Amino acid sequence: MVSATIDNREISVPEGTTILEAAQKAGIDIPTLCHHKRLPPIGSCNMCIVEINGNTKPVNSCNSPVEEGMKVATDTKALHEQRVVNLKKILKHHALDCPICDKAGECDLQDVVYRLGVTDAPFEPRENPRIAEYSTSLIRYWPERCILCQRCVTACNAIKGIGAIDIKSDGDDGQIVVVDADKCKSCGECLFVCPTGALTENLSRYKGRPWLENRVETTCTYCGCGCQLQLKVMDNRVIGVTTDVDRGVNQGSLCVKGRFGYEFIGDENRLTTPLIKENGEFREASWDEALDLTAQKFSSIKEESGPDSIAGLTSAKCTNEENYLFQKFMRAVIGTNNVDHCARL
Amino acid sequence: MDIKGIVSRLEKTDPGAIDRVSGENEITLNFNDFNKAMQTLHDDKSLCFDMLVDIVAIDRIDRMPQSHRFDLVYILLCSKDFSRLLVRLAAGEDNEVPSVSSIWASADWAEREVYDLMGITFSGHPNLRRILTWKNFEGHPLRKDFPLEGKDFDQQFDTTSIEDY
Amino acid sequence: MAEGKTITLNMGPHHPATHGVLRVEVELDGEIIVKATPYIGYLHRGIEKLAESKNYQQAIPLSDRLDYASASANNMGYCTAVEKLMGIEVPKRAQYLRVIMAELARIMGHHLWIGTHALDIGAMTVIFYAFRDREMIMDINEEIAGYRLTPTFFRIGGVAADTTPDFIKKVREFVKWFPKALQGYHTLLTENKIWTTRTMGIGPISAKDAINAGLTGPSLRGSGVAYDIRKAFPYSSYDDFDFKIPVGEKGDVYDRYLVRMEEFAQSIKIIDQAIENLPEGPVAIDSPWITNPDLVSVQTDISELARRFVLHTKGPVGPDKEVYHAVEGAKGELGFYLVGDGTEHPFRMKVRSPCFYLASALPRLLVGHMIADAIAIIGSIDVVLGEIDR
Repeated sequence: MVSATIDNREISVPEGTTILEAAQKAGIDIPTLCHHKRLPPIGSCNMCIVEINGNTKPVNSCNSPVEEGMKVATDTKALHEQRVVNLKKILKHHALDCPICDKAGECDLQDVVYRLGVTDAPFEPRENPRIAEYSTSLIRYWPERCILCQRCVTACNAIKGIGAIDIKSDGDDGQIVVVDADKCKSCGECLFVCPTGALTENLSRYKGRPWLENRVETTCTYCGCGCQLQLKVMDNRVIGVTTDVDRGVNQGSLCVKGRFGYEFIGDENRLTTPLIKENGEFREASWDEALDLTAQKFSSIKEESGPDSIAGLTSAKCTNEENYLFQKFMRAVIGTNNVDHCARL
Repeated sequence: MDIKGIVSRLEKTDPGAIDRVSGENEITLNFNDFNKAMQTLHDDKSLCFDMLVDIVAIDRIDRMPQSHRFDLVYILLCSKDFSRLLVRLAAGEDNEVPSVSSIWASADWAEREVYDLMGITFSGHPNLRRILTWKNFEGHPLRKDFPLEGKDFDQQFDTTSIEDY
Repeated sequence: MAEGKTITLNMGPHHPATHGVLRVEVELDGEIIVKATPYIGYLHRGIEKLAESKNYQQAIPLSDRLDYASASANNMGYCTAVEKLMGIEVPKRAQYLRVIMAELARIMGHHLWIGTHALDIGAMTVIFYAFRDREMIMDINEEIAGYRLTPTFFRIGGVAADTTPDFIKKVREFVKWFPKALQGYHTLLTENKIWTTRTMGIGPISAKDAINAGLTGPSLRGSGVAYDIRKAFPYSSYDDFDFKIPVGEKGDVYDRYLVRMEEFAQSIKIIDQAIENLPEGPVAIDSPWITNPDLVSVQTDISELARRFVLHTKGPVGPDKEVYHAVEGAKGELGFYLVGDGTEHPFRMKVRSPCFYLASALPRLLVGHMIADAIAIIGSIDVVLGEIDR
């Protein structure tokens, strides 16, 4: 354990804790932009700067560990001015897109601009426009909204270990480039961590605003993992999927299906009641009726042709417990070993 | 009278009644000495808080279980020098707060409103019943766990089910 | 009627003389009221609960709808309370404009009172004159805010817009015209034999009782207590103006009438001083955390655009603090108890409504009087149900 003072508050934290984490634990809120809970420190935005032992040269708190006896100031006038200067550098070429941006309303950049009370950061167009190319067609890259915080690149490398995207050069010419589009699994991890609207989902574009939609907690239905999702719902229609870093086994991560495969929920072709085929035509039926019919047909097939004339195929959408029950049903009730599993989604 | 004078005066007549003094004009009273201290605040010639301006109830469900669920703030006014005093009292869900309606007539309706909207009961109140909602209304609307839309807002409301006083 | 036998009469909630949906159940012994029980809640809209779901800026229109007869005075109460919570000092010009709007609203509220009060007792003419002059104030509201009855002209940190030349002209015209109109009301009522007979000695309440019952505003001052928050706890530059607090002596209907009549004159005096000494300068504070950026810079400046977005979708943040702030509304002490919790929404907003306590004092005012006097008494305490029920 090391002890230090942050904003005149005594703290004691395990060795190796960064100043930012220690401050957050003590309830001191240091403005951040590139820092993300799930990612290793990046240190690209210079928002979380603090003064140590009265030294006027500020350091990034996200990647400096707390040392014994350290005196940290997080909110001085000089720091505020420096933060504003740093933020204006980031804002310089940021497109005036808020009115058409899907992220507006829950945008980290907006929040930090509001929090620091920045004014007077006129837009300057870029001399060499960036290329709007991205590794997956499910995500749209808006190059002029990108602030090069490197969250997406870090997430692709550190969380998924894929490395499909990278940063090319730095300064004003820097931009996100596709390294290897084939490697990309379209998992959307980069989209999830993006603090601005630089990466937006193609399916849900312009469908709703964050402050208009409801968030409904649910569990992903695709496989038995049980990832926790929040469905964005507007007017009783699902318009997107988001996750919470602190919740569930997935801790904010999702696969391509969980993140982008939600449009089936509101699809017109989706079956809402069981259908029974009579004389070559389907008709709507109740569950009781359908189950009775199935049970009756199973019994008659079993009687006529023996239990091995029936086979069961189950799906990876079911949980382990459901799959267990299914094979038990096939073996014990029907009396056959003809059970299989699709083993994929 | 400033807060120091009020506190020293109250300490003399009801020792130990004051739990905390905060800000320019706010005191927190202990639950057990509440009624007696309020009587002193009203009766004492030098204190003379003869008007109960309002009773505010705050549902502090976010601070549970470290502290009691409700905060009651009694706003008092002295008609001599027009000084204000806020008296705070923490009350749990099961507590029956002693009524001050025998001291200030204005507490009658104020306590009824707190009872109706926040669900805090007062002991010794002559006529404690709902005031803004109706007799068979379920729940207490200003509690934080009462939904903003109301209960069963998506169903047709049967107005004939209302029982009036 | 035989000794000891009473009948119960239900006044309201749809009775013209109860000035809204107030129901008073009176028990009559002959024509004498022996018991009166007011029932309220017919106009309960849950304004306090609604405010918890809105941000500080969005809750301003809710305050308009408390005492809708004098909407700007409620704006004054709400906005100054939020500013006290957030620690904001409003520019002088905005404070003066607020005073003008609030005093106009007070006059507007008193117009409604005198018109309906006199109408209830049988003096039908007054309401026509009162509403003629009320129309002038509505025009002023429309000129500066766009709305007539509920202008919502106040904002956190100032007012919505600067004055227009027409606004100043119209206010000056009104200030010049109104004393003459007021003289007209006096001619119609003050020494009118029927009026004095119906009001003098009716519904008296002593100063001690009035204080104990929580009466404030003109109804308390009618009993001789000079409690006016504009003087006792000055806000929004009220200490810059020279005005008197009229008080009565007996606390009966006639004294309350005289107090309000004098308040007309005092309000006009305040408006006259405010409009003539209107300071130059901005009409809202310039704070990146509260006021909106102007629409031109939003087109060219990303920081202004982003701030505007946050201010509109989330709103200004209130600190984790509790404040009580009261102003002198048209009916009395209009207080707001605000609890902030470090978010954009008030954690709790409690409205200390003057009319709520005025209505609660009705039983003790009515008992012992004739049923016809109940109309005069209800009119004289001037309740607005929007504020009682909230």
